Amino acid sequence: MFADYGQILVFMLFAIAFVAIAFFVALFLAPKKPSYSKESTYECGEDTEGETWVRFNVRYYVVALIFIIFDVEVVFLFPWAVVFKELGLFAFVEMAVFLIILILGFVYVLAKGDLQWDKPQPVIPELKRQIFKVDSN
Amino acid sequence: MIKTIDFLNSIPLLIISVSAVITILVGSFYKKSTKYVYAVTLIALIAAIYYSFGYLDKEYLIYNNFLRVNNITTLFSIIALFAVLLSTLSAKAYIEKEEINFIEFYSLVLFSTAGMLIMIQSYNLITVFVGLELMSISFYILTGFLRKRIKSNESALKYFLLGAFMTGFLLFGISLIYGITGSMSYANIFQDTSVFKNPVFLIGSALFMIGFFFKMGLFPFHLWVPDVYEGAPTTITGLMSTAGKIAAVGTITPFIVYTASDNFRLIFSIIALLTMLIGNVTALAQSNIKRILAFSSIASAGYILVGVAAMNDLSIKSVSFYLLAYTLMQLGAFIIVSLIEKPAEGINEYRNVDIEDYKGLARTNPQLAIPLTIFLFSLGGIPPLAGFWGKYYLFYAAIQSNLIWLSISAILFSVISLYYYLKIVVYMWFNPPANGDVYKIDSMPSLSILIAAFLTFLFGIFPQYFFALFKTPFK
Amino acid sequence: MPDINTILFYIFAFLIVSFSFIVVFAKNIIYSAVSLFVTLFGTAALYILLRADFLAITQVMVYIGGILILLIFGIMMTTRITDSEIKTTNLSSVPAVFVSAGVFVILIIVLLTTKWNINPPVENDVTVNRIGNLLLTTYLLPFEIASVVLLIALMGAAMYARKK
Repeated sequence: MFADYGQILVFMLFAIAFVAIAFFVALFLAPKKPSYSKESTYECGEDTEGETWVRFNVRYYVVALIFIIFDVEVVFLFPWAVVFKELGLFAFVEMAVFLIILILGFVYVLAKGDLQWDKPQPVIPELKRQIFKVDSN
Repeated sequence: MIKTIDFLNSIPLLIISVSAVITILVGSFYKKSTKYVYAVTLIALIAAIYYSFGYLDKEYLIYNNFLRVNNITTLFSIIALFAVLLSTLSAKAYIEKEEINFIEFYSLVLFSTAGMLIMIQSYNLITVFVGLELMSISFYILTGFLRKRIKSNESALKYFLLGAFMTGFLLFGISLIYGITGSMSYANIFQDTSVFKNPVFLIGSALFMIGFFFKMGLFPFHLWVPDVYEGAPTTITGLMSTAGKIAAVGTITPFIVYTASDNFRLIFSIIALLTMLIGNVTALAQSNIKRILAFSSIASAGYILVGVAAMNDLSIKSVSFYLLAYTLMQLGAFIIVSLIEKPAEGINEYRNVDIEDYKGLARTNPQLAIPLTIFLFSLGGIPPLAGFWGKYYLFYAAIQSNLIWLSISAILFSVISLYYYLKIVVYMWFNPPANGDVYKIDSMPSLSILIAAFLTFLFGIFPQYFFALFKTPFK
Repeated sequence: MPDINTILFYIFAFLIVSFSFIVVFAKNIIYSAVSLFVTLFGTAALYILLRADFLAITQVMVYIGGILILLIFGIMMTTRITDSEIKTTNLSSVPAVFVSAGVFVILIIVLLTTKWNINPPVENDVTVNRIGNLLLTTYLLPFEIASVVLLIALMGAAMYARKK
């Protein structure tokens, strides 16, 4: 059991070493001939526009929060799943109550339309000025 | 394992939680049903109080010793439920006025009530923590409920940041207590009294108490109180300053009385003294009535700690009586403040909450000025009102434990507090009206004001009625 | 020669402490967030050294997979992120240093002078089973209340994020 985590540790050490070695080898071996176009930000050949940092839409936040809540729920589901066979119906009912309460939150968020993205309101060009004079007669 | 008998012995908690969940469900689909949700909330609270009375003079340990039902917990539960009931009764008029009449309001109030009941009844540090979180998170959300007003948002953020930080202290304390006793159940912690002298246990319980001192607004941790109480919607301020404080005091007082020995009486006494000093002296300089009441609430926490510091047989008795009296007068005052406050679209400050606006209230609105005068007199500790007996019992408990210097200074601070309470009374009765406004009062808020004023008189004249409820004496 | 567990403990403890310093003192808040990743991961490693494998997995899933991402999201959603670099400063560092140093000294003294109940870790012990059993029998009440706490947290967050 404990040795399994040793494997993860060794794996991680190898991963770090691999990246580090590749990085340093490139640092020492690669020829360095900087030029303007090499130094500029690569964006598929287009000229870059604006800042790298953009402000995210707040609506992602609700999604992220719901994710966290259900992430915690999954953590509780693990030990439940392990002992489910042992405890039987009793455990099932308990977890059902737990899940129903959480799903209620999800229903609330859905019903209130918090997960709905605002559809962009199409601006239909409107003619303010009459171009052709309509003859009323 | 949970047995059926556990459910039968925790009916109030079940009523509150189930109705809270139902209100969320209703609120998701029927936006127009606030009227019914309001009725359901009130019925749930009244039913919970009714069933709580059935648990008086009984003793149970329920849910695998996680909750405990006895005289003390039942008493604090009833007072907390009563505070929630009074403030919910009057809340509807206020939230309609401020256009925040959402169903979420009632579900959050019910959830916070469930948290209070769990906290008060808990017999295990885990349930203390979970109940406290349930109550606090509901309060954080309710504080910022007036979202169009920047003041409300600001206070919600302040309250949340400080509250979350203090929760860290509480958890650290719990983990130290667990580390030294190997258990989180009160049954095991209190079993071996030799552990109370252990430094780890002392630090752990000190950190644990700091978390609660924050919620009560005691001296070094009181700084959030005026800002949050001023910024929160006024009915929520009333709820937080009474029900929230009852829950915190009801949870920590038995813990202190069980664990702390006489050596710590001095520390509690000093905290009580400084809290009364800060609360009463700073209140003198305030002109916003919500801030005055906030500082008065800090001072009240100081008075309560005088009774707790006594740590004798009278402590819990006197603290619970003071909490009831405090609920009546403080909540009554906040309800009247919420009625006088004016709604204002698009401004960041609350309107009509300065004491200048209360000038001549007795001439224009005697139906508000008379009860407010009663509540302020009671807060100031003038006999024959409930507030007088509340302070009397607290200071008497302190004298029994030879804390005479503390009692005398508490009486002195109580006299100082009369200045700012009477200032409002003088403004109301002896000054020409600031404006000729006549405030409209709905039937529900006036009912809650009537109940509060009546009980302030009743317990002021017959304080023994309160103690007659309990056949068996307190431990 | 100390055994491998002790060496690993000190390596991870060093990582946690040094990256915690970066979290606190970094001027750019994004650096703080990224350093927090190492701190949280190191804590997970310590849990494994204590044979608390379930706790370690929870740490990785909830803290690294969830909360850290949310934190970075929070920074990204802050206004004026394009105008100026988000900086962190302390207003009253001197009293803070005194208070933290005091707490640190007291805790260290207590830690060293107390006789703790130490149980040697059980080898090849799967904790998930026992946690599951306790969670669904003894600790059922806090477990169910936890779901209610999560529910109101979700409700409140959705309310605040909603437009109007």
